[in-house]
Amino acid sequence: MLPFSYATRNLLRDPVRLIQKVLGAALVVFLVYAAGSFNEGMKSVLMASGSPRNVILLGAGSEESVERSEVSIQSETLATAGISGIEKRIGVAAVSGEVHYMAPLIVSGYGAEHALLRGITAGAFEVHREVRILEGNYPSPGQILVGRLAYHSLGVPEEALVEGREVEFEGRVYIVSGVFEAPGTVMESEVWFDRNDLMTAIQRDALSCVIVRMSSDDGYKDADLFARQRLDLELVAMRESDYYARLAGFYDPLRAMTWLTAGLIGAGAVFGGLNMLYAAFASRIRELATLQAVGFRRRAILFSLVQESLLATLLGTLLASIVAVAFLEGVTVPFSIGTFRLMMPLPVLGLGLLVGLALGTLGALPPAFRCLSAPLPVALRSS
Amino acid sequence: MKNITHYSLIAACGFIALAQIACEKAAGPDPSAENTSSAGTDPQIEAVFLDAAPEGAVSVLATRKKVEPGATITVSGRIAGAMEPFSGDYATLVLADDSLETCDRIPEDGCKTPWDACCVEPKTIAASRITVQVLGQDGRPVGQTLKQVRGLKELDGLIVTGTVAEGSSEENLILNATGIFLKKS
Repeated sequence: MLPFSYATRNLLRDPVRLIQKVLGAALVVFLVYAAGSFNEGMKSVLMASGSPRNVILLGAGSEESVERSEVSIQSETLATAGISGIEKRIGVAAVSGEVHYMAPLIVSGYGAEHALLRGITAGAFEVHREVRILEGNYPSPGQILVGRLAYHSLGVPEEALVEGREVEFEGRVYIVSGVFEAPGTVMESEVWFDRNDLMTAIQRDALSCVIVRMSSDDGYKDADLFARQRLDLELVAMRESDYYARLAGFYDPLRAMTWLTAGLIGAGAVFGGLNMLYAAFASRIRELATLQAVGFRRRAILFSLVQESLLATLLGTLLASIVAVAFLEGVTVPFSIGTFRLMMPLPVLGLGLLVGLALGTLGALPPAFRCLSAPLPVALRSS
Repeated sequence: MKNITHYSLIAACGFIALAQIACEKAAGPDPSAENTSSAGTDPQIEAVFLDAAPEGAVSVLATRKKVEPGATITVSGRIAGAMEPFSGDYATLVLADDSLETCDRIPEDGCKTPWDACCVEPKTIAASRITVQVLGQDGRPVGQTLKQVRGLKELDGLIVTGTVAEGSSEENLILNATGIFLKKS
């Protein structure tokens, strides 16, 4: 076997080429991290947004989108009375009739930007238990409660959407009554109105949905039975978690596109790297032949070349990991129904490491085979 | 010569075995056996299925014109009028009027769920259907689906006898079934 120092010394023989190798590998691994963190972030926010205990009663035929759904306003009362097994706190049933609406808002001093608006009553806090008001109060008529990431969706600075600031919607000015959090869910990017205010502003007399929180995980079937027994209300019951899982499915092509884009750019970098390795190894044919002539086996030389390549690509992987954790993780990305944070969980980091290892190993093999396959007398005479 | 005889014998046995398997497959399970008993079906559901059609059935539309909670009625219709007419957890189904134009009646319509009558105005669908449920001893629908009981499936024709549930109205009629007859398709 060739000593490990042979590989490290060779690596440092040409610093420019070393930098090229390291940066090339770093680019490929960084793209894998970027695609992986985008996918993980979007998937996790959609999965976390639905509770398995919550059941959404939507208008039949609008299972794909709550914004398109219309449910008669008396459904809320009828559901409260007709569904058995609804969770109660201090005698109050966890039922929330809501209006979901996508429309542009004008934050005072800034332009109009679309946001997801939700008209709520106090019941919303009974069904969405993860929601917590961080500052300010529950919105009274003429006021709004904003998610702590809503400023991102609206493209304004954070301080533009704090308690006391003004927002214009449909020609009326609303005061921000407070800021809420709902960690890891799409609700954090929403703007919550008093339900009557929102229904008046958008001239709507029907709800978008009624959300009920059941006292057990299998409570869904009781809500489903209610929807089937009240055909006149034209309702469909869906687990909230299933609704968001379907939404996640809707975004599958987008997520696939991120992998495809990363793959295409990465493939370019891989071929560039292969080209460079071919050139690097080809310039050392005589040196490698000499090693064979003094008694080193081809397998040992091949192993040393792979070591050398792995050192470079793993340095690149390390660099990409540092950059990704420092600059990628936690970055908020707005999308149509909310905002998600890029995430770097262990599987994504592991995938990056695997790609780095594969680049170093598989990338070195073709040029190494080519250099070592030449007959020894020919290789020794090569320039 | 002896080898040839052996091979012929083995080949003949193999042929007979294959023919036997093929015949069994072609015959398939006895459909009448499937329609007369359903393993694992709740006895409360099994008890409501009838072997003979009840007399005096009226259409779903006619039934909805005059609703009297507690009255015993017999209705004829088809399992249709919703994307999922069967509950997956309870013994309930949606019975639609025979006149409801489901997609299977539209020539060359490739709809995968023809029973939802997606080509018909929602208001017409809403006016042409009722809920049929089989109650258990606790007065609630039995906790088992009716789908595939005696081969029951979407678009099947049924004649149902039962009592009109309390709280039913012309807008929303619930029939507590005491007899279900599956019409031959």
